[in-house]
Amino acid sequence: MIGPDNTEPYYGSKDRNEAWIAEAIWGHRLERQPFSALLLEFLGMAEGMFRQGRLLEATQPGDNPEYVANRCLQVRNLLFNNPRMEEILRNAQGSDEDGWSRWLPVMKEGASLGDRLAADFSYLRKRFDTFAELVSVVRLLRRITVDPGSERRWTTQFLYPIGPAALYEAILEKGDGFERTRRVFTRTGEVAYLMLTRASEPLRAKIRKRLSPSFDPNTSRNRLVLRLISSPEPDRGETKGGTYLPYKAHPAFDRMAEDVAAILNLNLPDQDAFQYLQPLLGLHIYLYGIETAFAWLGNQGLPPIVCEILARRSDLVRKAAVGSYLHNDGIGELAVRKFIDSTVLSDSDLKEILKDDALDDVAKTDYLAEHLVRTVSLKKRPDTTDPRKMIELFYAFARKLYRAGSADGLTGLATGCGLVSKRGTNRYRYAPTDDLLRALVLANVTTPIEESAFLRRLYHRYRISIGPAEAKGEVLSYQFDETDFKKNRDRFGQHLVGMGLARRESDACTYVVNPMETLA
Amino acid sequence: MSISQQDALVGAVALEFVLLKLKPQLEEDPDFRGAFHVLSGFSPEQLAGFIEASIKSGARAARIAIQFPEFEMRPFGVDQKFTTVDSSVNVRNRERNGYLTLTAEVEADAEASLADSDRTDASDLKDKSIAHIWVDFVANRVGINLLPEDRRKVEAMVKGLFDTGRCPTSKAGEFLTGVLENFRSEPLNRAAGKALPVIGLPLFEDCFSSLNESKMIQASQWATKFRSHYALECYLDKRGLSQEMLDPEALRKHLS
Repeated sequence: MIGPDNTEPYYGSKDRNEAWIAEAIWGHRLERQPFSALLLEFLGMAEGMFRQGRLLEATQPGDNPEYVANRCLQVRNLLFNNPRMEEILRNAQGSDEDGWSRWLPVMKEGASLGDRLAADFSYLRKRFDTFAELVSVVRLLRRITVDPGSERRWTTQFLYPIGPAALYEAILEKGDGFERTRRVFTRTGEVAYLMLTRASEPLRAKIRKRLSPSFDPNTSRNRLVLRLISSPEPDRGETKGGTYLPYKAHPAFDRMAEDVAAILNLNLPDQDAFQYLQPLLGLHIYLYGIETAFAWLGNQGLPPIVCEILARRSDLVRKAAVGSYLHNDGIGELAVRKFIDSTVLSDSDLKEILKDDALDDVAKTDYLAEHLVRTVSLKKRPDTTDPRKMIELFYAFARKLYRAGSADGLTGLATGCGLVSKRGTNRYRYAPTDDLLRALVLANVTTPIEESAFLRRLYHRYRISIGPAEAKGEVLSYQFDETDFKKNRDRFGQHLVGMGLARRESDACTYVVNPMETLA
Repeated sequence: MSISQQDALVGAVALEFVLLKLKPQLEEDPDFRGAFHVLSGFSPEQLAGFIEASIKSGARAARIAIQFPEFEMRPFGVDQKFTTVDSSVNVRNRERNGYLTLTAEVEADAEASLADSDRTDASDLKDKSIAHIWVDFVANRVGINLLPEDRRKVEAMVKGLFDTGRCPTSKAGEFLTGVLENFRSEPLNRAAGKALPVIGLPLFEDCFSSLNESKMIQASQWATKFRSHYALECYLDKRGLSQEMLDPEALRKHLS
């Protein structure tokens, strides 16, 4: 998986990056973002590609798939930059004319639509019979705000993706206009999209077929949003691109695509499948992250993921889950070091120059600094004239950069998807939430399956260990206790039964069931 | 297939526990007509250790009829009289003829069928009230005679360790063995500090050195020390106390 045959370099500009290290290992880029933004960014790119007729078209690492995302400024102003609407409706005391005549100037004054659209919302008078009707539609749509109460500014508030018009990119106000922000949509959702484009064709075809109806602009839900927009289609921003995923093939691509296809295959009404896709996207990018790091260290497959099903008091399962998380959290740093050793410092010319006694330290550090710019686009030269010190400083810099960027992003994904948590303790550990367990059942169960067989499937597919049979080979002997892991397995069964995802039969065997399967 | 020392030890302690638990019936009740007992949560290796210990204990286990599932015991080449191809439920329904019939809960459906049966769970062996069984058995095995005051201290240490809830049953026996072997030549608190790597903790000979004679007989004092030392296990993963990764370069410099 790690080798020149399976990768292609990034051809875009690296000017905005302090160095190209984690990006070369995991892609450009995995960074912390509000977890809900992952699905929205993913769907935004998918919708943009759908409009071009290129939904889930195969890509290569060297490609630059570009798309244009919606901005939907009128909808966003109406929903999130319109604080006086309810007050005006109340003060109008049932007078429709009074309502419109007071509200339209307020919007003209306060709305922010950039230079392409006028702050004139009078078109809404033709769309709605009364002002009160407009208010009720706005009220209704506000109820499906993603992360309500997050206190984000109006330009980074989003709607549940009920249609293509409800999908738009994150922006920030700048002067009279707007600029794109990569703090909310960090590209991680686009990385998820690229992962699916590298999956095998039959899986992509399945997903394409099931995902396309969600981008149909003529659904009743989407038309509800379109009623708030003056034009037949939402306004759009500039072309987006430049996201990079280094590998042509990776086990994570098909694994993710299989789960996404399985969820979409359930034929859930409207966009109900998205709530299950969200944790799975996060989980799969996290698995991709740790599997890639593990591969850079010369291993194959996923590293072990020992999970605690939340227990009242600390036991050896919790200890093993903490240990397992810390191990997987640490391999990223080791991968960065390995990358530097094998890609940057293994250069024979560099080695010769550093060994050359005829050159003084200043000449050596100059060469080394240039080499770092050439190989990893290092922007700021480490401040030293000692080549050994420069290498040390560079290692430390790379480590810090990784910790603040991709490592933090992966932690955000793992906690956001519900795989990792600090519940009941002060340390991160693998402790899957009920929502994630539900998504895993829906993605992996088609016919009732015995609990132990389901646990085996989780182990073989994601290397997740919950029961003693799977954990025995994965956990250090001084962290393994059969009884504690049996209790963990029992708690797992109880959780599933409680969620209606398992049935305990009279022979005392527990069968995991997919309650949505009947809809498929 | 042979079994490890740890599994043999767990099996042996489990036997001692069962014998102690059923002593009133087995030794003191002349009208004892037989009973049924289930072992749950034990690995096949530990069950093989249980059989091995019952053979060694001779007459003490004479009234125990072990009937573990044959398919689980097959790899260990145990005598057929200790195994059965019948289900656990069938074993339960057999005539007991004055014997204590023992089976192991390993079948998927055994748990519900045997739910009301008298049982010993593997986690019962970490009960603080049976620390004396561990101490007596391991001391006997190591071949060391503990004075009553030393026995109380070792027992308090085992209770303290169990109290932390972080040590697997199999490792508890191994740790205790290590401590008692060290105890031949060193004071107990140093002997315990030297055996810490057995339970996956950093070696620290002086870990318990602040425990004086009176504190060493208090389980809570040992537990506190174990807990504070468990907090340092992050260093084994090259992480600091707040779980941050330690800089490999800084570590190299520090250790060189």
